[in-house]
Amino acid sequence: MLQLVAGIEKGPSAAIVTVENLVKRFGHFTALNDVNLTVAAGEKIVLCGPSGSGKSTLIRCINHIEKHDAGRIVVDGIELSDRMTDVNVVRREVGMVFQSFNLFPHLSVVENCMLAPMKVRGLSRAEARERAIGLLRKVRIHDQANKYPGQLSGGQQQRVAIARALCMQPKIMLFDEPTSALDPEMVKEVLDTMVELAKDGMTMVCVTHEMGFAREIADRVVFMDRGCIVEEADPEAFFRAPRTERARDFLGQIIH
Amino acid sequence: MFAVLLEQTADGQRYIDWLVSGLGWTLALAFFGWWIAFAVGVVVGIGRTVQNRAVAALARLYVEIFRNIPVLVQMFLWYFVLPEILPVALGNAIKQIPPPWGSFFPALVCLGLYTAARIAEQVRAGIEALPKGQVEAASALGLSGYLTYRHVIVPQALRLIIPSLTSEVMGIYKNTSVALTIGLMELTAQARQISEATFQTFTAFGAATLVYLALALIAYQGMALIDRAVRIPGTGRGEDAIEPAATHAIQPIDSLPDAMEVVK
Repeated sequence: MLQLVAGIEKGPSAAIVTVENLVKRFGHFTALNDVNLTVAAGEKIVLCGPSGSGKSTLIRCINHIEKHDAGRIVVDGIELSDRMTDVNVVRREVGMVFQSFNLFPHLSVVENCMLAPMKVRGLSRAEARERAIGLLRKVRIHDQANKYPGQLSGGQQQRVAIARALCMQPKIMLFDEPTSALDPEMVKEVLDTMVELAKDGMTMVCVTHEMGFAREIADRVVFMDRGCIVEEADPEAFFRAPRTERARDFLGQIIH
Repeated sequence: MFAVLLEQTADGQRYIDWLVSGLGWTLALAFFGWWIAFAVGVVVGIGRTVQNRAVAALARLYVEIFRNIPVLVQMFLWYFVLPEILPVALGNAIKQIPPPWGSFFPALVCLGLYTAARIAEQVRAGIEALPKGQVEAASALGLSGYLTYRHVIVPQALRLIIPSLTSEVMGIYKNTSVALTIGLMELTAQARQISEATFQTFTAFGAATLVYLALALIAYQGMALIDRAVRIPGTGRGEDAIEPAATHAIQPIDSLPDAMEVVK
């Protein structure tokens, strides 16, 4: 919904995230080396690559959970710098879902969803609750609204985490291996939720190795290795005929 | 054996009244001292973990000073030394506070600030024991540093440290006995006074010991009740059936990490 509106204002291909010449180092290790990436409003991008290739670091830089060392990141027209006011404005517009859910264990499911809208967006308790219940219903977990995260399964927790991020009405959603910590039988419920979100028009950047998911919803697959973007292609082309040796090796390892 | 406690004293009371009066001062000192200690301790403990280096260094300095000077020495510093180093007029005013308040207030400040340093270390350990993902998730939602501490970090950290705070509650009321050295007639001082008046040393200190023991049990039970009341559903031992997938996903919030300081 939100996305359609934003799309009309800015034109269908307006870049919502622009990453230019991004460099990120951890000590002597260069995690990202001169990375360039543009995400258009409404676009769905799947980031893949071997572990340690920098894909998680890249999306963590987009909402400044990791500070980059060089290059530019512009999100929704705001350049990320050390000015925390800018950073917090950007973070409001960028939802993030983590591998380990990171729900707040001391708050109930619905309180998890209400906290940021009330404290950051300034919604009243009633408004925040209404929005939270609505989005929990969307991820089909509203009947657990008053439970605590520790009482839910991993798949349920991850769906709550998605609803919690959506409650901020973000313009873009980042997913950092959202299904990697899940037992196999719970992967599908989370992926289904993400597919639904994609079909609603949400701009998404997903780090995932779920290639079925990538085929179904991705507009573009971005393959990373050793801190660089090695290949970008539409999913059909990428999976059928990867252009680079490294991508072929990678696909050979993950597709059994 | 405790019959002597019911005998009349020279001032027309009974010895047991002395004990009760002493108990009153002990409780008052421990109770009000605790709230000073808790308030200061939480603030300093948070200060130890913030990114601002000046604040963190100040908090560290506070902890090192107040934790590493023996509480008896601190008691003397507040009672004897402080009035001397203040401007003369202020120092004289402090010296003229009538008893027992002239002893009570220095003892209160001393125990409060000393215990605060110990609580601060536990608050810090509790904060550092939280998974990093909690702060990341809060940041990702746009919560400011203050909001993150207020709504995400501190509520979890305080729950985590309730067991070790129990020993601080017990510690502060036991340390109230040090106040007798600056003339506060608390429980131990009254026991000594009874012992001197009646020569029944065993009875006098035996009674005080029993009272201290009873207080310890009450404090322990009280903290256990608080622990249970604020426990997060889904994290208790065997209280809810948690699906296996959920158990490894969340941090075991009631197990103390290695970083947690074992006190006493």
